[in-house]
Amino acid sequence: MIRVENLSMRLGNFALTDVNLRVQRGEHSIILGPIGSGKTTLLKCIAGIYRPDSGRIEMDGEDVTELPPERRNIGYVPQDYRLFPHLTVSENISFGLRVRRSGNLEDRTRAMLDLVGLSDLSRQCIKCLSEGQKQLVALARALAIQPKVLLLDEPFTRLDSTAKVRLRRELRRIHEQTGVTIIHVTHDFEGSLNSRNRVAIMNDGRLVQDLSEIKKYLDEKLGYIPIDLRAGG
Amino acid sequence: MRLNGNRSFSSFSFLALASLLALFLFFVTLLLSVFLYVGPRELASSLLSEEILFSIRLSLITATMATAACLLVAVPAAYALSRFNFRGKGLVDVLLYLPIGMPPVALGAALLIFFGTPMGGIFSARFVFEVPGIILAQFAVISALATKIMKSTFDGIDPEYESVARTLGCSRFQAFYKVALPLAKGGLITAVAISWIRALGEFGATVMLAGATRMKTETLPVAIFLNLETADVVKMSAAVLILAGVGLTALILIHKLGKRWPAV
Ligand SMILES: Nc1ncnc2c1ncn2[C@@H]1O[C@H](COP(=O)(O)OP(=O)(O)OP(=O)(O)O)[C@@H](O)[C@H]1O
Ligand SMILES: [Mg+2]
Repeated sequence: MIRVENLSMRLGNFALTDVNLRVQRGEHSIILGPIGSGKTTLLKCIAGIYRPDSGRIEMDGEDVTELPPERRNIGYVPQDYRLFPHLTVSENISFGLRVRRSGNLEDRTRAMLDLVGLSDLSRQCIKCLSEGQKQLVALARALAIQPKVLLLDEPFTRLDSTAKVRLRRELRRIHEQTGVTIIHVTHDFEGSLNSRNRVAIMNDGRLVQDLSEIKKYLDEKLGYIPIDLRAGG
Repeated sequence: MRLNGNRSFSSFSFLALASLLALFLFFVTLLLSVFLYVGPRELASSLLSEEILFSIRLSLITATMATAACLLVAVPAAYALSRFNFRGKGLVDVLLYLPIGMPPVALGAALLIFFGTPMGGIFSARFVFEVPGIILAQFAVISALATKIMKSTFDGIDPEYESVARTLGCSRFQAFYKVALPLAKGGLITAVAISWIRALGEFGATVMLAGATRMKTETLPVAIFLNLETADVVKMSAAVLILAGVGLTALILIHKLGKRWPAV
């Protein structure tokens, strides 16, 4: 289980304020929030790339707030993938395994290539991949280290609509197959709400807690106008 | 790949290419005139003279050692300058332009004065008028330049690559070594080439610190100077050509090796 408690962090004029979050093991949670609301900042805090000013982050009961990223065992897929351009597809995927000097490197790399369905592209260079393929390689690279949690930053927003549909299905399958805990942030309200995931709302550096507030927020974002039932002549 | 814009040969394209050609011809003419002045026979006999062979060897060794020492410092220093925030960073960044812009003679003078102080005096016997002095002088001239080149290279690499590498298990050093450095390959090759060729041609600081002693601290630029002093203009010109030849060969070698340098 991931627990974020009273997390705060200033970044220039922006501040992540008093964020509390709980994600159960194996859950696929989505944090929705408009552009610039602090979603990436929160993910970077959880990954250990940013150090929060206050608050704590717990994973499986262990306090990881002070741990550097390399000791958190978190899979991070950044907004624009950041695949290593000097390495091939399979070298990207096995990167974490090589750093950790883990055994059966080849088997695990092949398993990851199979998982994302890119076995044919293992020797391909990164530049020649399509946007959707890049996303899948980034997923495989993050999953190869068998992370406790997978952090996905806007995994679909750079894809066109067909790729989006396919990738969403792929992600659901990968989630079912690996059972990995996922925290997934996006500003794509419509695109994310038709699944049965748990959803939280981030607005201006805060996670919106109150249910009615969330409802009001979604209504506004999706453009629904609530019917005023008491209205009448 | 042929871009569409290339097909329409505008007057600007013509101007750009003509400038390139003019610049190229300018330097070729310079070299050619020296070559015609010396003649092949004199060039060959100079090339085989003990003095010039000594100079070539000394130049190759000192320039290579100075470049190696320079990179050892410049690459991590540039990385720190690019990635970390600290007080006075802006000042350090600006100050680094100084050694680049100062005349090498002034740098050499400063070094000489330093070795006259009580602190510098401890080491002065090893450097002043000695071969290590040449390397130190070259280092003084090229290190800030190499740091600047590497800094702008690292600035162009999104630190997010290293962040991802960290989440995959890299320590700070591993993220630098396995990701930032391979991505900086192009800039690194440029830094090596510019540092090396600049060290090879270094004269002002070398003469100030290591002196111009025949067959002792006589690098190729010093050989040019010494032969000019004894009015042996043909031999001096031969040394100019040899310096150009050595530099060109090395640069081609650096670029060839750089291309083959494997990804880490
Ligand atoms: N290094 C930084 N220094 C100063 N301000 C920053 C920095 N990084 C981000 N910010 C600011 O913090 C705010 C939140 O940024 P963040 O990237 O977390 O937003 P986001 O919710 O991920 O947005 P998007 O949907 O566009 O990805 C933004 O207003 C941004 O300008
Ligand atoms: Mg973001």
